[in-house]
Amino acid sequence: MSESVVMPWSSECVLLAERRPHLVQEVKQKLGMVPQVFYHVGSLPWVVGGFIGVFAYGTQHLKYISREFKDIIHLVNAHETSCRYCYGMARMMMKLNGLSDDKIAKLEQNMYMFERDGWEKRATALLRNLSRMNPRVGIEDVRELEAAGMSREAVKEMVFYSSMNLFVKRFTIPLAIQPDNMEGMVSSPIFKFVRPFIGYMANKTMRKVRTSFQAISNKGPFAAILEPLNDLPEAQHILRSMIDDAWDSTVLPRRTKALILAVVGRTLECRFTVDEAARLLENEGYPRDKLDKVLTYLHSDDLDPFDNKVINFARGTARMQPEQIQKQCREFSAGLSSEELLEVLGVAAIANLMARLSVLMEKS
Amino acid sequence: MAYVLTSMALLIVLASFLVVRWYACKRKIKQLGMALDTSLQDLENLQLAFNRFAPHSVIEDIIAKGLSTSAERCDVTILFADLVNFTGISEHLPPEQLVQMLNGYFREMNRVIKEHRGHVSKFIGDGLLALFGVPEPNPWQTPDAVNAALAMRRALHTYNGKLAEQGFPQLQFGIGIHYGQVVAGVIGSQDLLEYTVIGDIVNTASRIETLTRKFGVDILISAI
Repeated sequence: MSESVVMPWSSECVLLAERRPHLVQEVKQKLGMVPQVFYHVGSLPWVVGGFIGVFAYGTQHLKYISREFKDIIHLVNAHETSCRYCYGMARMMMKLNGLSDDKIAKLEQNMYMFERDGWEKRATALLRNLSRMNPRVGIEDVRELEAAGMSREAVKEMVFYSSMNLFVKRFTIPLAIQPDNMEGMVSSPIFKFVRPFIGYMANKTMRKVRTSFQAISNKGPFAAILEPLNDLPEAQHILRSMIDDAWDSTVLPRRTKALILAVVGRTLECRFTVDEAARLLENEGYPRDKLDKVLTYLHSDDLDPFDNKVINFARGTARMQPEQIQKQCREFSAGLSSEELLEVLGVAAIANLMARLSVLMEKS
Repeated sequence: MAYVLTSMALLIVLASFLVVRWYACKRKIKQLGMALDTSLQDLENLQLAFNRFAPHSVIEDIIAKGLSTSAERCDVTILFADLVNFTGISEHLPPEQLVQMLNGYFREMNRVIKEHRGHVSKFIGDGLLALFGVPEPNPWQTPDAVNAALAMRRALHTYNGKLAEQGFPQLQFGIGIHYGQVVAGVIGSQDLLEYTVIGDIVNTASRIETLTRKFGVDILISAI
């Protein structure tokens, strides 16, 4: 796909960027740079924490997959979801890492022409399915990939990293976040001459920072789905902290959050996510039979109008087309605070993430 | 001495030949790369254009796996809509105005159906067949179809307002909705293929729509 490719994208962000000096400082300290998306999600700390986690993991903690394959993950995810922001960001990062336009074009051609052999071809196919979840990725896909020569740890890391990327897209796409200004700059002819210097400086800054993630006890919501990540402690830490912080956040009631988890889980046909959401709802005093009614009709008179509105919106985050979801998000956001909107998107994003990660659980 | 000079001359000729060939190959590779880029761009444009003929995911599948006659059995909700007394209207309107009116109607209905996660499979004269639950699974396909029918009623009311302003006659439709199992896939001959569904429930949905006249209603739903 060339730069001129048509990716329908709203020209107006649903949530305007806000400059928060403390946030900028924190993100710079941990990542060495501040991607544009942080200016839009800064009002909800747990989302910021999750984003720092995924960016830091990608730049500092990848162990089993190569930098080239990481680029492929970014490109496949961006292509499959038609995420204009992520596509621009992926290209920008590749250019900063020294890849020329020709090399990026070759990478994209290989990706689409299925010239890549062996496990890379199967891994690319699995990444595409993971993005769409139609049909749902299953144990046989993971087994096939291992049989083709990708190590178990690498498969886990790939599924985790791709799912986290798709988590980020549950914000960038509905909110119609505009590609970083740098995308245009790195595409300019002048940049060709200064790229080595800028790339060197950017990499030097990013290499200086190191965000550490200590192993933590995996107890709390979705512990079973996070268990296969025991041998990727940093990944498990990022998810455990984010889920716990999201669950403890007081912006939305827990019942609303669990309903979002259940509805998205049902949309993606993930029984693990639905069952965990049902358990969380029972803890909040909402019985399973009532949830079953909600999951049958996507509406219940037991729920207040806000919850009914939220679950109807949340289902749309499972398989999205940018134009549609951006329109829906704009309508949905009317009358909501930025924190409320971000928490709805964030919990829906977690549900999407869990439904994808559960592929690893089915394997265990 | 002569031998050395001859060898050097040959070497220079050979080196020059290789350099020329190398440049020619490089230029050829560049041209092929550009041609490939153009082809990819054309393919993407073609894909965008084909999205009007079949759902996006079906087009992607055809690109990835090639055209095949593979189909799958799945549960779908069928919405069948037909204009009431359109033959009578068509007899009193010039063809251009008729097509203009019909295209406007289809445009509005298609928009509403898409908003409710449905897909218009085909237009049959002044009727349309919409599918809910394929090609992407949708656990809420029946409520979506019913909500789409209600939204179509509102959209037709608005469209009739516009038609009245232009002096066109008012449109009325009947909608039949039914749920059941079908075989869905790309079906047809080598010359003409379409993404559609086959099954008894398609005919049943059509018959339910016909019954709207008998019961004097605009929307009729089976016990789904």
